Amino acid sequence: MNFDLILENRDFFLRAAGYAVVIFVASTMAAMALSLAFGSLATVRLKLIRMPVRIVIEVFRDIPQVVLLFFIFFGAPAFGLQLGPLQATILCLSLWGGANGAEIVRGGINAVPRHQFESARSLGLGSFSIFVAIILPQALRPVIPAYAGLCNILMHSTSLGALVGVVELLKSGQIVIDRASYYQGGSPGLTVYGFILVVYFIAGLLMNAGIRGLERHLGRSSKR
Amino acid sequence: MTQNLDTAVIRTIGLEKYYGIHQVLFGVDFSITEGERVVIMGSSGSGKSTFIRCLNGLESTQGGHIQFHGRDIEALAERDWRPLRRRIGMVFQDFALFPHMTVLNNLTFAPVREGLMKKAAAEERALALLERVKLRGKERSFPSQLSGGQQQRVAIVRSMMMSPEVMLFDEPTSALDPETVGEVLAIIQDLTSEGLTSIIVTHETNFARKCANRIVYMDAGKIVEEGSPEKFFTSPDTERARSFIASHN
Repeated sequence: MNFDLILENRDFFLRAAGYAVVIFVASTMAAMALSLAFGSLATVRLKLIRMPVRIVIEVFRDIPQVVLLFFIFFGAPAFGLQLGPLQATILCLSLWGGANGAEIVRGGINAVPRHQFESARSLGLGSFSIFVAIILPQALRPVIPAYAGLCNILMHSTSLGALVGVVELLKSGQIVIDRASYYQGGSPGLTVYGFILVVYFIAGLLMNAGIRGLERHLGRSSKR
Repeated sequence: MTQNLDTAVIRTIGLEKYYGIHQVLFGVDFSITEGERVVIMGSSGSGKSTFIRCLNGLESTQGGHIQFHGRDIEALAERDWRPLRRRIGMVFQDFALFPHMTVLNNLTFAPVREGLMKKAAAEERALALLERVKLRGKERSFPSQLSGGQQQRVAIVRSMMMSPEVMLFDEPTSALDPETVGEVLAIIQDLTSEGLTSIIVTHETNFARKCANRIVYMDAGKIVEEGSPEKFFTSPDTERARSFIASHN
């Protein structure tokens, strides 16, 4: 295996990893905001708000990420929305992550016992205060591990950007392989894809270790 | 027992409540005057908990009136109920403390958030009340670190923090171990002995005998009998009340 090829292209790979990080961070942040907003709205009593929100959540959850990405990238210009590969990938993962995250948040809110809401109401607290200070903290804490799992999926999904031309890790690998094949002959596919596999594996490993640490911490503090 | 309706703090006239098509309150007429301690008794499903939940707007009503100091309140919008709920405190069967907050935060959160007190004043009052219910030293604990009886005492103090005019107790001891029932009842007796107007739903007949000025007995969504504890427990008028007392002695 030609490991020199990896070293020769390290700056290129680093820049590509940077794009993957940008996609991951931006889409995770946006997905969190969408999850919180849509997950909360999906629990309101008013059917006029709750039903459309739940339909939107269901639609984005049921569409495969790659189909959604192609629809945004190739279809959005027809609606006057011209997005570059990077923006399209971020938007796709934000919507998909937001919809799936909203279901997690909704489940957390619905799991808060009803008497919590009633006892807060009986103290004369307003709906906003009750929701933000009483219900949400109780709803979010138990769903953090599930939400961290969703973030892990989003991290893996950054590689979808390659399908619309974002030069992230996978695409950079394809380019390096093409170049090496053209100029040096043979295919260094095993080396390059093996390297990318290891990078994703290590990133996933670190993230899972973080999630487990978080779960242990929450487990300890919930026994307070 | 005839009540002076002019001085009634809370009064209901022909109160009706439905869950869907199922009627649970059938024209309840009730009143309580300032400083009175009324114990509501009745078997499960008699509508006593639903009735007191209606009094602070946790349940909507479908007929009749609820008056607070002579003013009709049954049709108030949610935002108008809010200031009223601070004057009508409520303690629940299952304590319903906020599990993510310390005891001190449970006590100070609502008065500070609602702008009724500054944080320092709220903490001072909370600590004084905790002292009174013998829980001083537990202010930094979380609810899960307390026994059921201790949690219920904190829940009582939490309602008292709002300085309510009337306290509603919805079966405050029915979720407790028999050993801790006494400590909670003693606290309720102590707090209400200073003239705090209270409506207490309970099955504790000894407590009702000692603490109540008046017993209201409900059956099948109606008040079927009311009177002094002596009268109620020694010579009840109705057969239903007689068998209820016999089964709880």
